[in-house]
This record gives sequence, structure tokens and C-alpha cells, in this order.
Amino acid sequence: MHPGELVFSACLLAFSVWAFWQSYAISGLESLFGPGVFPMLASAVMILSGLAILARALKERRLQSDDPEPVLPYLFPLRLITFVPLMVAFAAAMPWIGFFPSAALFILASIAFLWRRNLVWTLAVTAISVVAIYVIFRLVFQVVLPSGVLWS
Amino acid sequence: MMEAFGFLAISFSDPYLLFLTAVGTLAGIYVGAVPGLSVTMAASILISFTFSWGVNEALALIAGVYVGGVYGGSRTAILLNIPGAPSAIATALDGYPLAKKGLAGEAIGLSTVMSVMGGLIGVIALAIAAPAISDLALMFNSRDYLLLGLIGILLVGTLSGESFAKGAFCGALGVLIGMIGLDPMTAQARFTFGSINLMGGVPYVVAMIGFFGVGEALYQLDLVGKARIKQKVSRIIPSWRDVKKYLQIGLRASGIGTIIGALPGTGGDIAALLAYDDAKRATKNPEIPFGEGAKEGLIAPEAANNAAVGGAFIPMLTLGIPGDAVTAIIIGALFIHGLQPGPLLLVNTPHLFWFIVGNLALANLFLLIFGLTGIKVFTKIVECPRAILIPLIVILSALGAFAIQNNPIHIYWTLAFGIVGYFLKKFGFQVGPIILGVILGPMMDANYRRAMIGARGDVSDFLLNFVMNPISLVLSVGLVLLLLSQTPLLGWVRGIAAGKGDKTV
Repeated sequence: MHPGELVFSACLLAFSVWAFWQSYAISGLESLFGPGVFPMLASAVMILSGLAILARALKERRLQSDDPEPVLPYLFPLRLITFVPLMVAFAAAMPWIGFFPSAALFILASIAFLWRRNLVWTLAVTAISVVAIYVIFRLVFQVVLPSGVLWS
Repeated sequence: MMEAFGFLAISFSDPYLLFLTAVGTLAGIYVGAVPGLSVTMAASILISFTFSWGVNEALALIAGVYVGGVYGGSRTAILLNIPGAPSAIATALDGYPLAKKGLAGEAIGLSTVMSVMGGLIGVIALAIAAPAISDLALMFNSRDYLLLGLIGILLVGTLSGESFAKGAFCGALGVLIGMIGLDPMTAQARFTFGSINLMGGVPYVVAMIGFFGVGEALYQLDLVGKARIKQKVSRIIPSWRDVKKYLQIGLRASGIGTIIGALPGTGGDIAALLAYDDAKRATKNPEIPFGEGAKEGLIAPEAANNAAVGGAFIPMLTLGIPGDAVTAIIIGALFIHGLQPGPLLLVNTPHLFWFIVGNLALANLFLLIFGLTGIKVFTKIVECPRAILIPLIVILSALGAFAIQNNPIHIYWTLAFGIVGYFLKKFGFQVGPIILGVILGPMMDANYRRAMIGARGDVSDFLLNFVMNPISLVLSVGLVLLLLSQTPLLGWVRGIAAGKGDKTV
């Protein structure tokens, strides 16, 4: 049993019920080949399997004798709650400062946080990575990437 | 007949075509291997590069990328446990455990040899049995495609993960994600919540990159700084004893791969999963249990997904129906070059058909050469510390998500899918069924509705059709058996039967 599984299973079930309701809202049951019928079937499968998952989690909870592992450190370790905002900041900054500057800053910040070597190494690895990505994707594959509205 | 051999040999005798096929195959291996880069993406980009070229040159390059790419996904599946492509999902199940045991080199060597064998069998099937197999595929109707989709998703749900319920949940969730956007039949908006960005739907590559790229990267954050198991890649060329021992499994999987590949809409991904499942059932006493590094579990999906390449060309060239996403793009390339894929292609342009057969065979030979060499360079990626690799995976994922439609919003979606994937993984869910659901969902929806319209909306007629047609009956029985074997239903049925039995006594 994973820490927090009971709450997570309940959330999944709630989401499934909401999804079924949304599927029903598409075309109702006026015809059996309407656009909402297959989504309703899929969300019905989610509700059924969600119930099975919840039932199993409840059963395992009852059988569990020792204290469960604390939920928060298991689900939200420090590395995750630092890295995810960095990721989002990269995506948010990209249209403004351009793909490569934003990628360079993201790589620099995350390697500095995760690797913890000296600055020269971190800078060198960042530079090599960005140049390699530029050569492969911009020059060879010719992917057009945002250059940043701030500079134009 | 002699004429056909002449066309077959074109790509072997022209140095420029040889070169293009070689470059395509090598590039394909890396494209397939890098998570976030897909063969579909590379093929569509290449078509825009090559439309001013001759048709043979363009096809040589794209066929090379296709063959190399289907194989390349297995490299990262074995070394990093990240399938580079959906067709390598099953490869990771036993390939990665093998690598963890220090047998990465052997695993790669064996998967290369079996991939090439599968690939060549697929090509031979394309050359010999094309008309016969396409006749069979013609007899499939919408019900059967719906059943195939259901079986595919449920199979991947049963193959891995903690429980069948979790697999079924993920498959259904994937189907729902695949429904997002405007309904192709009625243009009715589904789950768009008024957003224009959602109307075009979620490209499955975005979901795939999110769940497999970003989700895996986040999951691996826990492992940063932990000593990595050095993937020892010593011997790559597999022993003759191993090749001989697993030849039968490889041949069986190649057969499955060719047939599944020939069915329209089902490509290497389903072929690999079905072959894996078949190998699991057929191997009574594996040396190592499946999921812990069984070589049978590595060989079957690899032989099958490469065999599916040749198979996928069969309906594409004879019926004009693509076998999978890449052949759909190749159809586009043929149209650009003024050719009409369909029943008349073989009659009007036999040289093109035989050229493709010869070229696919050539690409497989190059695959053998590149697959068994260059792995040392490749494994440098693995020796790279996770602290560097994880940010790079995120950047590549963002790049791949963006490049599909040059839409920055897809980067956010990829990150969001990644975060959802992280939590699902933390609770023992597998993301494979989600991806399969996203890919197959729209196909299943369309076929469900066609079958229902065929039954004039009458539920009893609709259900009756599943048992009245011999092909549908076989598939329905397969689906029911799969459900019975995986859920408590069988127990209940037995319980009820036993209860009745007691009463009568």
C-alpha cells in the first residue's frame, strides 16, 4: 500500500464521476451513436475500475497494522517542489526571452540545484548541452523555435 | 519475374540510394531512441525536406528512418527504462531488468538480431503474401476494429502494473484524453470547455512525451545522486546458442507482428504487446521470470515491432489504407510524387512496389550493422549523471511537444501530463495503457459508432452481430477470456455455478 493511496483513490473516483457527467453533457442519450456515447462508456469503465481500486485500498488499509509512511514527504519531496516550478518558469519565460536563453537558464538552474558541483563545471555542461541542442534541432532538423518577443 | 528482381535490386546497386538508406537507418535509430523524438515526427519533417527529390530517394531515406526508428526505441527502453517509442513499451518490461543485471550489451545484441530477423520476415511477407493478407484485412469490419482496440488496451493493462483495475482505469482515461476536441463525425465539441486550443484535440505525441518523458524525469528525481548501476556493455554480438534457442519465439513473434502490422490502424505498438503476451503464455518455464529480465520477453516485442513495418506497408500499398501513423505519412509522400496508393499501384507501377520491398530489406541489413556497432558511443548517454540528464529530458520533451504543431501551449500540456504521470506512477499505475488509449480511442469511437449505425441503433442487433460473424466471434471470445482471466468475474461465475450445484444435490 502506498502512503495516501486511500485519498488518491477517492480523488480518482470523484474525477471519474465528474468525467461521466461531462460525457453525458455532450449529447446525452438521445441516440446510441451520438458523439457522447463512447466517452460515457470510457468514463463508466473508469468509475467501475475506480471503485475496485478504492475497495482494494480500503481492504489493505484494514489489514495494515503498522503506522503508514508520512504522505507529504513521499509524494512531494523537496527536489520535486523545487524542480516543477523551474520547469513551469522555463515554459513561461520561453515566449518572452526565446527558447534557447530560457532553456539555458533552466538547465543552469536545475543542474546547479541537482548536481551541486562547482560553477565552472555547471556552466560548461550547460553550454555544451545548449550548443548540441541548437545544432541538432535548429540546424539539422530545422525546428523553428520561438526567438522571444522581448528582442524583436 | 526477372523484371521484379531488377527493381528489387535498384537500391542495392545505386551508391546514392545505398547512402541515403544507410543515413536514414542510422538517424532513425537515434530518433527512435531519444524520448520525445518520434519516427512519425521525423518522417513528417523529412517529407517537407524531400518533396523536391525523386520518389526513390525520398522513399529510401524515409524507409530507413522508419526501420531504424522502430528499432531505436528499444535502446532507451533497455538502457534507461524509457521506451523511445510506443512500440518499445513491452521491450522495457524485460529489457531494463536485463540491463540492471549488467547484461545491457547482450540484450541490445539479441534485440538487434531479432529485430532484423523480424524485419526481414515482414518484408518477405510484404513481397509474397501481400494480396492474401490484404484480402483477410478487407473482411474485417468496424466491430472487429473496436474489439481489436479493446483487446489491445486491456492487454497492455494486464501486462504490467499492480492490478488489472489500475490498468483498465488508465486505458479508459487515455480513451477520454483521445476524445478531447471536435468530434470528426459531427463537429460537436467534446471536453473543450470553450477553449480554442483544445478543439484540435490532444496530439498523442504530446501525451506520450508528457507521460514518458517528463513524468519519468520527475519520477527519477528521487534517484538523483544515488549510485547508478553501471550498464556494462561488454559483449554485443549475441551467442549463437542464444539465437538458436530463441529462434522459435522470434519466428512466432515475427508472424504475429506481420499480421497485426497489416491490419489498418494497428502498428508496431500493439504487435509488440500481443507478441509479448503470446511469448509469456507460450514459455512455460522461463529461465528468468517475465518482468525480471526474461530474454523471451525482450525478443518477442522486438521481432514483432520490426515485422510490423513490412506488414504495415501491405494495406498501404495494396488498399491505400495506412497500417500505422508512419505509413500514413508515406502515403502523403506518394501523393506528393503523383502516385496513387491503392489496388492499381501494383498494376501501374510495379517498379515502385518492388523498389520498396528491396529498400526495406536493405534498411534491415543496415540495421544489423548499425545495431551491433556504435553502442559504446550510445551508452555514454547512460553514464551521464541523472542530475544532468533530467533537465535535458525536460528540454527535449518541450522541444518535441512544441515541434509537432509549433504551438507553445503543447509545452504546458506536456508538463501537465508529466505531473499527472508522476503521481500515477507513485501509486503503482502504468502509463502505457493511457498512451494506447489516446492513440486507439478515436479509432475505437469511430468504429463503435459505425457498428452501432450498422445495427440501426438497436442494442440487441448490435450485440448479436458480435457473435454472428465468424471473425467477430473469435475476437469477442478472445476479449471475454481476457476479461475472465483478469477479473474476479470468473470466481463469481464459479461461485454461482457451485451454489446452483449445491441446491440441485
